[in-house]
Amino acid sequence: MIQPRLDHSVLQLPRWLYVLASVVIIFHLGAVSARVLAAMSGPWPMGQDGSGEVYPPQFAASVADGLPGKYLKAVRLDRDFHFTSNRPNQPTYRMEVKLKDEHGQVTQTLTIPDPNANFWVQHRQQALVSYLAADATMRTPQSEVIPPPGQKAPEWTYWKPVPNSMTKAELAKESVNDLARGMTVFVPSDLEMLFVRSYVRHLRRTHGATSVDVTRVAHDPIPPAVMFDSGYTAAEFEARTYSYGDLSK
Amino acid sequence: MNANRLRDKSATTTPTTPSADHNDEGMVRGWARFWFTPTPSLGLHIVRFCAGLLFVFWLLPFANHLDDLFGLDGWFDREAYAKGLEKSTPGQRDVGGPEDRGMLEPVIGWSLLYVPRIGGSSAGLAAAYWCSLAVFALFALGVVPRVTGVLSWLAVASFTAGPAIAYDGDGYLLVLAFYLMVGYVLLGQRTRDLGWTRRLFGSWDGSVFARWLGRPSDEARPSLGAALALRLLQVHLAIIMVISGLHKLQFGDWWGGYALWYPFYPAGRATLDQARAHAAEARTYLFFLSAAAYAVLFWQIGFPLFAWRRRWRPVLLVGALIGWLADSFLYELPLMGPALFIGCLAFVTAEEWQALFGLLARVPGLSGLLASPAPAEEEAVEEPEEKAETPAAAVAKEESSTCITVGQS
Repeated sequence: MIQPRLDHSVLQLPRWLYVLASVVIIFHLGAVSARVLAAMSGPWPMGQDGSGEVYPPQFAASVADGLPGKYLKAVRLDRDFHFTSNRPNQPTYRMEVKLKDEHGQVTQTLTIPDPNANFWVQHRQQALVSYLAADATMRTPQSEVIPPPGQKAPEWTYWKPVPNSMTKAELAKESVNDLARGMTVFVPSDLEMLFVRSYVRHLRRTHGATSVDVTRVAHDPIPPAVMFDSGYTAAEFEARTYSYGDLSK
Repeated sequence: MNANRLRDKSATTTPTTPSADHNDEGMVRGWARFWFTPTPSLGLHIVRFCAGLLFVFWLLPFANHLDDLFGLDGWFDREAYAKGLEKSTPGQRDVGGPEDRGMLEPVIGWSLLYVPRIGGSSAGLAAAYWCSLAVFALFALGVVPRVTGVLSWLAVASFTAGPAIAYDGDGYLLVLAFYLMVGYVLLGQRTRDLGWTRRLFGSWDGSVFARWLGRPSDEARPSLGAALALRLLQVHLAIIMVISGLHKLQFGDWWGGYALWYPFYPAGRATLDQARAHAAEARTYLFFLSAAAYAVLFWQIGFPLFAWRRRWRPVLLVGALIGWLADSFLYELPLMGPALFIGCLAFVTAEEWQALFGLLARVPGLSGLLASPAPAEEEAVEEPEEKAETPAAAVAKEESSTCITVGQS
C-alpha cells in the first residue's frame, strides 16, 4: 500500500512504516528528553536551611527509570548532559601518594595527575581525582546516643581538623558521642572511598608497595572580587590538605 | 537517476509549495517533511570522516596506559565494580542515591572490556585497543561503513564505560557514534537489486577511496537513512545545548557574568597578584567577560532557534569553533570542542558543502583533490522514478539545499 501524498517532497512509504518510524523517533527522543530532565538540580536557596539540591520532576524520573531509561542505558545514551564544567567556581584537586615498603619507609611519592603524563592521560587522572571531592555532610545528634545493651555507640569516620591548622584535616574515627552536639561534619562518601581504595589496590599491585598513604590537596578558586577588595590575602587561597592515612588495611 | 540530472532539475524546479503554504502546513506534514525527506548523503559522509578522525585521536593518546585506564585490574578494579553494584542495606549510608540500589548502578553500563579475556588480560586489552583504532580509521575512510559503523559504536561504548575515567565529553562521542551507526546501517538499504554483500557491508561509494577506485559517487543521491541519522543527531545536539545552557543558569556566577573569570585564573595555578593584574580596569575587564558569558548562554539556550536556519549558519559554526578553542585552550578540556563542532557540521546542507568545495577548488593544488568521482547512476533508485525531483525540491524549500555534485560547480 502506498501512503497517500503527505507532501510532494516527502519520500513515499507505506503508512505503517511512517507510523512505525515516527513511534520509534518519538520514543527515542522522548527518552533522551526525560533523561536530561531527570537530574538533580541546584544548589537552590532553601530558606533557613541554606541551599541544597532538588530532586528531578517525578514524571521525568519515572520515565527515566522505566523502559525508556533501560533502552538508553542499553544504547549508552543515558547521559543527562549537566556538564561538570558548567559549574564555574569549583576547587581543583590533586592526589599525593606515598608508597611504603614493609619497614614503613617511603619508596616513592606520586602526584596524580602525573605532570609527566601526556595531556589526555592527565585529564583522565584529573577525572579520577575529582571523585575525591565527593565528601558528604552529616549533622551530629542533638543529644547523647544511647546504644542497645551490650553494644557501643556508633562510630563516625569524618574529616577532623588538625589542631592549630586552618588548612589541614585527617580522617578520624570517633564515637558519635565524642563529637560536639548538633555540629555539621564532613565525611568521605562511600563513593569517594570506593575510588580511593580501588586506586590504592592498583598502586600496590603495580608498584609492589606494602602500604600506601594518600593525601588529597584542594585549591579554592580566586574570585573576581579580589580586584575590588584588597582585604583578600594569599593565605586564604593556600592549599587545603586532607590526609586519608594508610589505606592499605 | 544521475546526480547531474538531479542538480539540473533542482536548479530549474521551482518549489510547488510557496513559503506561505510552507508555514501553514499541518503538524503531520511538517513532521513528515522534517524526518522523511531524503537528503544527499554527502553531509553524513563528512560527519563520518570527521568523527572517525576524532575517535582515533581520542583513543590514541592512551596507548601506554591501557591496563591502568581500561583494565579490570586498573584504577577501578573488579572489587570496586562488585562493591559499586552491591545493593545497599537498610540503615547503611548510601550517597549514591535514595533508592535501594548499588551506588554505581546508574553509572556503570555495559562494555566489551568487562569480558575477563579482554579487560582482564594485557594482551586482550591491547588487541581490543589496536583493533578499535583500526576500525575507527577504516570507518573514517568509509571502508565497509555498515560494519565499521557498528564496530565503532561498540568500541566507543566499551572504552567510555569505565567510571574512574568518566568525562562529560565522552557523551558527545557516544552520540556521534550511535547516530552514525544508525545512518550507515540504513544508508542505501532501499536500493533495488542490492547485492547481499553491499546490503551487509555497505558500499564503497561514500568512501574517500571512491574516486581512486573509479567507484560511482553516492554523495548526491538522496537517502532517507542519511536524513534520519542527521536529523536525529541535530535534534539530540539541540537538546544537549539547551539543557547545558539551562544548567548553567543554576549557578550565580553565570547570572553574574563571572563564569569565564575562573578558567582564566585556574585554582591552584593562578596567584593573587595575577588575579589582580586587571584591577585598575576591573569594570572594563568584567564588562567583556560578562558579555562573553552571556553570549555563551544565548548561543546555547537559543541554539534551536538558529541552528536550522541557513542565514544563521555562520553563527552556528563560528560559535562552535569559538567553543572548540575555548574548551581546548581556556578550560583545557579535550574532546568536547571538536565533538561539538562536528555535531554542528550535521546542520550544514549539501548545497553549502558544495559551495565550500567550489571555493576550495579554486585554490591551486586542491582542485584535483576535490574533483568528484562519477555519480552512482545505477543505484539512485531509492524512491519511485516519478518522484525523482521531489527530494531536491523539498530540501530546497526547507533549507535552500539541493542535490548536488561536489566539486563540479
